[in-house]
Amino acid sequence: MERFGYKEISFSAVVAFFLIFPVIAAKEPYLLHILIIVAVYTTLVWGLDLLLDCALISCSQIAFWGMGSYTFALLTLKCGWNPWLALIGAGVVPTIMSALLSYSSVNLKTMYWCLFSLVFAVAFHEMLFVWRTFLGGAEGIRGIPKLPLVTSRTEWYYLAFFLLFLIGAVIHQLRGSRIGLILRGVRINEELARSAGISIIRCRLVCLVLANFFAGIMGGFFAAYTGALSPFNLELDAMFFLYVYLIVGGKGSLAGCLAGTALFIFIRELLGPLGIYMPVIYGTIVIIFVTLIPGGLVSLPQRFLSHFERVKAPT
Amino acid sequence: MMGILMDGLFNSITLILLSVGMVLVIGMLRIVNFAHGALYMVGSYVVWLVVGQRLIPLDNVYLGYSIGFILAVACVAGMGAVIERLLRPLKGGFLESFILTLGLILFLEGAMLVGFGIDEKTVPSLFAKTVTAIGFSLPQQRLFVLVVGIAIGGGLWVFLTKARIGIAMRAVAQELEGAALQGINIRYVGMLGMAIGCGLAAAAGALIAPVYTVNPYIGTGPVTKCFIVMVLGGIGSLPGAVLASFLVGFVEAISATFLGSGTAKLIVYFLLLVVMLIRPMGLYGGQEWVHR
Repeated sequence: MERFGYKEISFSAVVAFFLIFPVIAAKEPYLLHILIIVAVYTTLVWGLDLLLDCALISCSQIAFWGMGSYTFALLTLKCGWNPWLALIGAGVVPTIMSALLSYSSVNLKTMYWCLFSLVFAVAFHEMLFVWRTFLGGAEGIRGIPKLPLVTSRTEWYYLAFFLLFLIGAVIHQLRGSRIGLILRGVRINEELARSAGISIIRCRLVCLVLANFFAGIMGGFFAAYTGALSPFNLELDAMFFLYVYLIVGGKGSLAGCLAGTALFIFIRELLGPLGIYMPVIYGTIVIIFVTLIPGGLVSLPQRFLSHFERVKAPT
Repeated sequence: MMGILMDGLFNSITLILLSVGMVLVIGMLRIVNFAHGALYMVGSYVVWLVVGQRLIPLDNVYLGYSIGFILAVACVAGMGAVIERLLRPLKGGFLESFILTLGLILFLEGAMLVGFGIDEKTVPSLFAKTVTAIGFSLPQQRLFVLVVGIAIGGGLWVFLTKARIGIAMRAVAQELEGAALQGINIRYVGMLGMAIGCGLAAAAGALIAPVYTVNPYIGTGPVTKCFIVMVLGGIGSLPGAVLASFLVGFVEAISATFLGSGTAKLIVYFLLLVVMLIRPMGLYGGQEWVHR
């Protein structure tokens, strides 16, 4: 029988913590609310991380997330769909849209794709303001129906983490699958991988579609949870913050992304009263992390361990 | 009709100043400087400090403005050189440089917010009069922006085609290793390119400051347009950037006159989406941006 390693133990500890948390925090519904928000943003960060594996720096993740929530709102309000059905629709529409967009752009190189997706996100955001009659303009959409059967905040919390767990499991499986191997191979040595007949393009398509599907589902969930949508949630700043979570947590690791997102959102809640000093603090944190700790939070234990090993080695 | 022409020219010139600076940085360092808009904002702030706050007490407005302009360009060019130094240890990693420049945006905007407050600042206009000639009228201030903008653009063109170091910069933009093998000091050229690019952003900010108001977030709008221009024209291509600036500037001016500004934006974005779907590498973009 295999022994449980450091990874398995910490994984089960984290899952257990999230399962028991509502019992501990029964009197603090606000904490649950923050954790639900953390779950929503973590999904987006995971999507970005998945795309980074295939050398795509996406700036349109937040747009697809918004597309999901607007789809949910329109399907339930204007078409009268069942909210559970609309939640699936919220995932499907961004998927189709991203597949269409990828058709022309999937073979672009990293820097170009970054600006390309950025411009798409800007165009989507502008459209929300301009097409006022249908999408609500700057006021957004209010009175979105909740999901039936989910009533208390604890139940929302469990639903959020159920979705998060499912998505994490899919991404984990994908990384271990053939596609994950191809992506890893291309990252290690692109020329060699290409000379062996491996192309990154099809993997990119799979990753793009999956990441945007997840973003859409979580967008629908977010719309149902908050009951109101505002285009100001979808500004480019929000997109940039996702990258801040990613780099602070540590890229290439599901746990790191979760940790970075949770840490940053809690910092924001704790230091909220500082008001106008916040952007300077965020900026300083980001610059420090990028220049000094490029591996992010998740690399810190390893760093300390390797430091001790180096001290021991000569004896 | 002349009004549309002048509006279009005005839009285009500011866009050209910004996007050419950005393209220079892409050519020199192979990274996108997302903090370009923040540097534009800093340029505006320097002019506001010198002229609006009378940091340098001068009675002559023109002299004060000129000093403010030169100071803005010099400060921000220096900042650009420092940023290049920060970017160097990242070894051209696109993700890291992307996030570093995002951090810089947050930092600079936050610093201006903490330092000078959130309220809108106005820089006094240099010229109050309006020129009326051959059937159109134009505020002198805008005319001034046009003239100086064209002068800067022309100067840059001469620099890039005639000066030795300018030619070296173009060589680096074309082929980094090849340029290094010819004995060009690529680090120096990179730092100079970053300084010039950032200086151009500051020049645009300093020129625009008297026309609009100044606040920590003025950089976002122009820099977003600048990204659109670059995607339209082809990233890293100077002629593409200039052509797309004119295209975006004029489309916006024409549709703003006839259709209202909301629709104008939508038309620009629609144009963009069409180009993105048909020719994702942009009008002037080469095949080097596509995996084959």
